Amino acid sequence: MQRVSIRDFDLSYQTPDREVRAITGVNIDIEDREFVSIIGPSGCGKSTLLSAISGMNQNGVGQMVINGNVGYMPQQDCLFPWRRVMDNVLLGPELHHKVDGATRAYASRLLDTYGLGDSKNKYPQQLSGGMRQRVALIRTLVFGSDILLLDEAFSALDYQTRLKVVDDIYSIIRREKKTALLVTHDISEAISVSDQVYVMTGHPGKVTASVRIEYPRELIPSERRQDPGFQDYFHKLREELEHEKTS
Amino acid sequence: MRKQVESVSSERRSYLSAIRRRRSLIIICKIAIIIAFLGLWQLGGTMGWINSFILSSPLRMMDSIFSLAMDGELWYHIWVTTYEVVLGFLLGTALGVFIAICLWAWPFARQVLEPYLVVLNSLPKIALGPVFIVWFGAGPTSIIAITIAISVVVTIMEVLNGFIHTDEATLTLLRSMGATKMGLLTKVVIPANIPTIVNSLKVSVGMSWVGVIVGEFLVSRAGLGYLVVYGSQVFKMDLVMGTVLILAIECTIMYLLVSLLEKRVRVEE
Repeated sequence: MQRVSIRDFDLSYQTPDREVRAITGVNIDIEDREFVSIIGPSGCGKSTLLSAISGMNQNGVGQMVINGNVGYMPQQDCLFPWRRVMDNVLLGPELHHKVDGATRAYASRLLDTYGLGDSKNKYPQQLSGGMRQRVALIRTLVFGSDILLLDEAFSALDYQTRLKVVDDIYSIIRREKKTALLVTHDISEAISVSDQVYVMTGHPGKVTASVRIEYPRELIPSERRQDPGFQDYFHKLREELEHEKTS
Repeated sequence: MRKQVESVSSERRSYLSAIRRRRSLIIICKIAIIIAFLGLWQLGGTMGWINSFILSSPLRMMDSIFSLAMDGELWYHIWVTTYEVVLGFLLGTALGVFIAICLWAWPFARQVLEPYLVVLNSLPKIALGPVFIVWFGAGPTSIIAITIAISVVVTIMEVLNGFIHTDEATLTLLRSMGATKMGLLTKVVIPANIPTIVNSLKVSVGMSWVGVIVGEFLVSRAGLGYLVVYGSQVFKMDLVMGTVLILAIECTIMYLLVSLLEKRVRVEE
C-alpha cells in the first residue's frame, strides 16, 4: 500500500511584499512502513512540505494522496511540564474527548515496552533528554498516527544523546510498523535511518535527486554508521547538495 | 555520615561560619533599625525635641489604636477595607483574565483595541473616582469600581502578553492534532501561563490597595482610608499614623500570601 503519493506539487504563500513560491514540482512516494528522509539546506521548503502533508498548510496545488493518520513531531519534545508522562501521552485523544480504557491500555503498553513503565507518574523534567524524546514519540503514536512526520526531530539534542535517541526512535517506529518521513539537514542522520533519501534544493524548493539506501531494516542507525558503504552514500548525497549550490 | 562531618576541611568550616555570621548580622541590623527608629521617635517626643502633637509618637499611636480596638470600631474599619480590597482585586483579576482570553482568541479585536489599551494603561484610573461616585453613589460599590478599574488594565496587559508568547512549537503540535481554539486555550495557553497570572496578581494586589484607600478618601464613610482622612481633619495625628501602621502590616500580609501562592505554583511547575 502506498501511504503518501505527491505529484507535481506546488506551494506558494503570500507576504505583503510579494507572493513567494516555496516549493515547486515535487514528486514523492512513500510506501507503507517505509522510512523516507528529505534533506536540504535551511529554507529549501522542506518544512513547508511537511506542514502541507500534515494538513496544517492547505495552500498547496497539485496531487497529494495520504492514506492514514498523520502525526507531527516537532524539533522540541514540547512535553507539558505541568502534566505527568501518562497525561502528556494522552494529549491527542484528550483533545478529541476520546480517552477510554483502550487508549489508556495502549499508552500504558507503549510506555512499558519502551522503558518508561516506571516513569508514567513522573513529570517530564524528571526524565533525561532521550526519555523525553521517546515520550514525545509515544504521544504521537497514541494519537493514532500511521505516518510520522519528524521535523528536525533530533536537532535539539546534543550529539551523543542524538545517536542514542535516533536508534531508539528508529526501533520503535519499526516495531510498531509505522511509516515515517524525516526532514533534516544532517546527511548522516538521513542515511542512518532511511530507505530512501530525497534531496531538496533551490528557491523555490524542488526535489533534485533521490537516493535509495540499501540496508536491511534490522540494521539500526548506529550499526549502519559503522558500515564501510555508509561513506559512499554520504559522498553521493553531499555531491548532490553541492552540485545544486554551484549550478 | 558522622565521618563526613569530621572530614570537613577547615576552609569549609570557616566559609560556613562566615556565611552564618553574615546572616545573623543582617537579621540583627534589620531589627535594630526598627527599634532605633521607634525608640528615637518616642524619646524625641518624651524629651520634647519634636512636637508629638503633629508627629505623634509610637506610644501615642499604640494608645489610639488600642482604644479604637477596645470599642470595636477598629475591627469594623479593617473589615470594610479588607473586604473592598479582596473583592476589587479578585473581580479585577478575573475580569482582566477574561478580557485577555477574548483578545487572545480574537486577534482582530486585539489590533483594533490596542491604542485604547495603551491610553487606559497610562491614564491614572484614580481620575475616574468622582465619575464612579456619581454613577454608583458614595459607597463601597464606587470604591470597588475604582479598584477594579485600576487592577483590570494591568492584568489584561500582563496576561495577554503571556498568552501571545505561548511557545509556538507547542501550539503547532496541538494544531497538527486538530486542536480547536478552545483546545489550545484550555490545554496549553492557560496552563502554561499560570505563573504569569499569579505574577499579575502580585502586581494588582498592590494596585488594589491604592484604589481602595483613595476610594475611601473620596467616599469618606468607612474603612482605614476614611480613618486617615478623618484623623487628619480633626488633627488626631496619633490616629492617622496608627492607621497607616495597620495598613502597612495588612498590605504586607496580603503580599506575602500572594507570594506564597506564587511559590506553590513554582514548586508544582
